[in-house]
Amino acid sequence: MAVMDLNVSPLGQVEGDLDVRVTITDGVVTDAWTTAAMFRGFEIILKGKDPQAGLIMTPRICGICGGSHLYKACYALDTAWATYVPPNATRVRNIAQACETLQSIPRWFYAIMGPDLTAAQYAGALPTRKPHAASRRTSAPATRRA
Amino acid sequence: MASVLWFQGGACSGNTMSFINAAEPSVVDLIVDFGLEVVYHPTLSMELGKAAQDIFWSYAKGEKECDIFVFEGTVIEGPNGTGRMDMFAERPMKDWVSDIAPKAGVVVAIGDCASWGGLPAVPPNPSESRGLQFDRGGKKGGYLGPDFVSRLGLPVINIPGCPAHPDWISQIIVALAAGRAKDLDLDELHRPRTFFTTFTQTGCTRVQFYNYKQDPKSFGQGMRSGCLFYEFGCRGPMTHSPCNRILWNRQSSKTRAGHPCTGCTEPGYPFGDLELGTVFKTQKVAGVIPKDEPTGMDPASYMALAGLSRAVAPQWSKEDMFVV
Ligand code: SF4
Ligand code: SF4
Repeated sequence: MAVMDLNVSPLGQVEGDLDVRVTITDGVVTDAWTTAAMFRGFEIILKGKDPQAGLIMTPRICGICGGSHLYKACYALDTAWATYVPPNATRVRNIAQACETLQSIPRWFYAIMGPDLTAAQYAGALPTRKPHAASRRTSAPATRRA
Repeated sequence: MASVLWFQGGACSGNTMSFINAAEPSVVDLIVDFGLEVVYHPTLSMELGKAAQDIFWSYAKGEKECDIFVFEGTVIEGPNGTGRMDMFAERPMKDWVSDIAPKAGVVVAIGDCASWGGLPAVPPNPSESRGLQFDRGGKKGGYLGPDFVSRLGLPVINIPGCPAHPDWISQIIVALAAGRAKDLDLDELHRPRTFFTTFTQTGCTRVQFYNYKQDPKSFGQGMRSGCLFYEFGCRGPMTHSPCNRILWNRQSSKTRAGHPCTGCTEPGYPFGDLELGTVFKTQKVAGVIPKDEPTGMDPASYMALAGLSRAVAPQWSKEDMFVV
């Protein structure tokens, strides 16, 4: 039985710092550990501060998905203060959230993960789509209402 | 051809995200037209583990020279000066900074965190975070010390903002890549004057309401009229940034959208250390006089001007003049 420990530090192409340690037994990954060793202590900083400080501080936890953190910081205040949130406010928040998703997905795919797909090892590993669109749907949807 | 080595300390990657959104010029322009060679970037580079460490050591030992060393995020010294709260490639990040910064052609701090500590350095600063050459509040020093100069004899160039605007970053990098580092005119906080001389207020659509001392009555009520300085803590008149000249997403700015400027290009940001009652609220002395006057004003002249402005304010300035 050949056991090998692999320590990858840093593991790039992620947001922030990440290290990975994997144990490989006979060519198969049998265990894995991840470490993200960066600490800023936002929770400690926010303790005892103005409740609205969360609206400034919380989104800066992560620069990629800051909008999501901001949404939840708002949500926390709304809950704590029992704020009446008008339906249009929720819609505006949802549109903003959707915009973040819209920019996040292409960024992750094309700028961060996509370049890996050009590596020689991937040649032949990815399924290629058949040229005929007709083969994509084999049966009609089961029910159709007018 | 200029080489760039980019590291992230106590960072959120927000400045990297800002950078890859740049449009004038874009990151692709930088690489294709300006010959920028990104030797390592934590989010964008494909090297990992040992291969990445070999790159870092070649710059740390001086076997290779990089033209531009970009740092994003704070330099973390905690706990107790060890820097072990931020480990990168099996060493405290601060040790990589000590080794690489003095050997780089120029060192650029991007964002408030790298410039002077930013949000992580807000008291009690649990991670012992510092900026590269300044500390929170704007005191010169920081992790590298007040006398630090890079290989070209330049101090750390600061591009603050939380995050910095994409084009502030990419335009300064173009200047550096074109070998114009020494032509950059820096202010006393090492910010390029071309971006950080005018105020956030310069170009704000609410200036007419500022002139007549009219506030929007309530926060966030679709407020297109009214100025945010008087009640809602807007720092536009004392913050050096081009946010209303070089718009965000080419569309808007905080103040145009009805959000007070929080002064994120200044070393005091967030002002009042986020203490109770300081957020989105104008700090006042004796209930009426703003604690921070617009830059260059003294309290007496400010009060005289404000009193007069309010007295002569025309009716339109008190109404919503943006008719739909
Ligand atoms: S909203 Fe802010 S930036 Fe705009 S005019 Fe008022 S004080 Fe100035
Ligand atoms: S408007 Fe003020 S707080 Fe907003 S990005 Fe500009 S300088 Fe920073």
